[in-house]
Amino acid sequence: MKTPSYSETYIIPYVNKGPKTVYRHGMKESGALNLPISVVAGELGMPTTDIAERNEGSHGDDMDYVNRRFKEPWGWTRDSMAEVMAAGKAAIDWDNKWHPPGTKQLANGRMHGIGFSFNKQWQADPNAEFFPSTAVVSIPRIDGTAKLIGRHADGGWNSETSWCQIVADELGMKYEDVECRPFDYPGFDLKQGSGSSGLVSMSPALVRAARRCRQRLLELATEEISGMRPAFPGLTPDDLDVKDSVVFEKANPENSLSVYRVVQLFWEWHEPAIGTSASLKHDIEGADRALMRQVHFVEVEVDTETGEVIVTKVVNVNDVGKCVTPESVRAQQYGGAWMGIGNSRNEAVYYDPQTGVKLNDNLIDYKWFSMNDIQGPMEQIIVETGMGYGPYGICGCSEAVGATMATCTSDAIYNAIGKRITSFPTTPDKVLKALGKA
Amino acid sequence: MQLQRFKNVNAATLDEAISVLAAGSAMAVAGGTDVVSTLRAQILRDYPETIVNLKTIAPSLDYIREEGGMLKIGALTRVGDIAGNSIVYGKYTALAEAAHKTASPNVRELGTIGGNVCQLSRCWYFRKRDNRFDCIRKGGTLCNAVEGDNRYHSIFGDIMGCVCVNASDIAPALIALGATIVTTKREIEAEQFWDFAIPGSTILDVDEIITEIQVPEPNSDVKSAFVKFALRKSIDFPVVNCAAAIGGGVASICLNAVFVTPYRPTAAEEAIAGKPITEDNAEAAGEEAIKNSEPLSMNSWKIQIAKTMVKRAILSCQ
Repeated sequence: MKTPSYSETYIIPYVNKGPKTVYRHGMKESGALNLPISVVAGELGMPTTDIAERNEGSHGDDMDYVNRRFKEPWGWTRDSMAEVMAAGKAAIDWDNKWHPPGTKQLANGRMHGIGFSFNKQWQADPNAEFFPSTAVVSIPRIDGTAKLIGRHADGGWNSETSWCQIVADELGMKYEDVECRPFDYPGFDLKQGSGSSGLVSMSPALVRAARRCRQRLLELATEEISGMRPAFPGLTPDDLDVKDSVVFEKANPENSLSVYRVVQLFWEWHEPAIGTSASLKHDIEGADRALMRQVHFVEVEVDTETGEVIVTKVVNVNDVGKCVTPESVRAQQYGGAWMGIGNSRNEAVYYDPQTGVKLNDNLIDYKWFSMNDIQGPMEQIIVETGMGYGPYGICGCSEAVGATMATCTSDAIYNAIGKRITSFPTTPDKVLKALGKA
Repeated sequence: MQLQRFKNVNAATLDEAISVLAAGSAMAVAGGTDVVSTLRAQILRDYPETIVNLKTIAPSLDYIREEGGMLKIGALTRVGDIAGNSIVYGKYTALAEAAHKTASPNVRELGTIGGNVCQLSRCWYFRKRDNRFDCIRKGGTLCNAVEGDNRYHSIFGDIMGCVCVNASDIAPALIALGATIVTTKREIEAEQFWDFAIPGSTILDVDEIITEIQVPEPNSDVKSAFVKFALRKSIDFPVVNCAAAIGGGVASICLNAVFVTPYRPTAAEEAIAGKPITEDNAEAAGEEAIKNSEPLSMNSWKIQIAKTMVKRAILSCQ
């Protein structure tokens, strides 16, 4: 029931054709983690969740060691796995719905199944050198709104919204007074190269740049320059604060001036308030341990006469540390779930065995899931333990939901029919073959 | 993949369209959902010099009406209009359900019934762009699917060595309902309409155009139904589909996507005709339907699907 570590071997054959299925980041790691757990649980007739909880750990270490060695020194006390598991189980009603494999037939004749998978919450290795990001935050004189400028990033769900929210909070400005102005010339990279872990990689640079910009703004508001009377004479930057795009004296809030007016006062003499920053490597020992978790649940009905698998409910729970934009996180959750389920159920590239020519290079024959192909409700739950390595304990969500969902559906199919399908995608022909009907 | 240059003729009359087709190197287009993708991918040996647009013909061939104990559907009637027609759904249920389960809503709003029954094979060897596989169906000598990836191909053998399947959803409904296809030259029983042809899928001459589909009104004790199995709920062509019309001691059943042409499992029809529609009788008819199956190397799973589709189509006629 409890295994100290997994032995995982990648076999990479070099052949004159592409990968069998569409690659989703982290799928092989997720499969190596979840498939053995699903198999062990199946052989023991135990819920998959039980085996997962018993084998919770990090980098091959069990949680006793991880708690003692890392979490306690860092002051982190929450148990991410326990929190996401409890939330997910409650949402899918796992304790009532799980049953021994192949034992529950529904009134419509189909077999009922429920599946589980989990993973660490994906985030960039904070010590990796390939995830630097840069940010420039400026409050130009022209309109007094904050500009976040840098090279355009393609990745992420609605990432520019989250960036602007962080900058607005740090500056003390209204969200609508912060604008992202991306360009396509390399130099200042808003999340270099885009891709995954965008927010956790980008936010350190954003926070530092915004704080430097805010400091410069307050200096402009209090310094006498070239004989010009400052906006807040006799005060220091520490005497001031900014809220809702208004600079005010802490001890006398009525002594206030809008950010726009502050930068306007100096339009002839000074550069705009500006702050720049690049994200730096962390120097926290073990910072790549990624202690936050994601768990996923799928409920299915299997038609044993056709091999069709009908997805009737999906629950995704992600501990993202700190959620900046819930809509973006939920989009990553259900978007990833959709793609992960579709990938595991239908998607494969087929080649002519005689010539090696790809046969299904179009979206008619490549069976990408359509909107109708998940029939049941999809519920997204966000947990915030604050144990990420970004500012505010942020971690982000990213595409790992898609990678982790594949084994979730195969676990559910096994729970439904009591037979193991040993390759992806789990198409009807394989279900029928497992049932001895093809 | 892009369209090559061709001459477009907006035919004003059927005679004009026929004359252009008779001149050779021409192709007729109605909704265009099949023709345009065929031309874009350049799957055929020869690229037509002329495309004849049938939608401009007057009087219009876009109508649905009952006349003389018969449903008459103009060849240019859109599939979506058939799916949503209350008369069709009420009396000719299998046809309405087949239309409703064809492709996706946007394709149904473009595609016509005439185009649907004339669609070319969906075999992925036949369809491979740039005529990558010059197979039997195009006049070549080899069916690549026989030794290739044939997971979606025929489970009832071949015609002249070709094991592709007819993928129309509407075809089996028309056969089960005893429809007639009217062309500019003749009237053809639906069951006789589909045959091995190069490169087409029907017995139509190159200068022959469908004008109308006629479906006799079923007796009041006849019920019809259409069922479909595909890998996705929308968009997909069938893995297997089946239409049935049962009542008055008679059963008419037609499977599709299981053979080169729509396939009528006569043994299943005989097994259920005149018997009460029960789970056991439907199951037995399903078993009869697949008795002559000859699966290829990768598609034995379709036999189970076909059996189930026959059973479910029969049960849906209760």
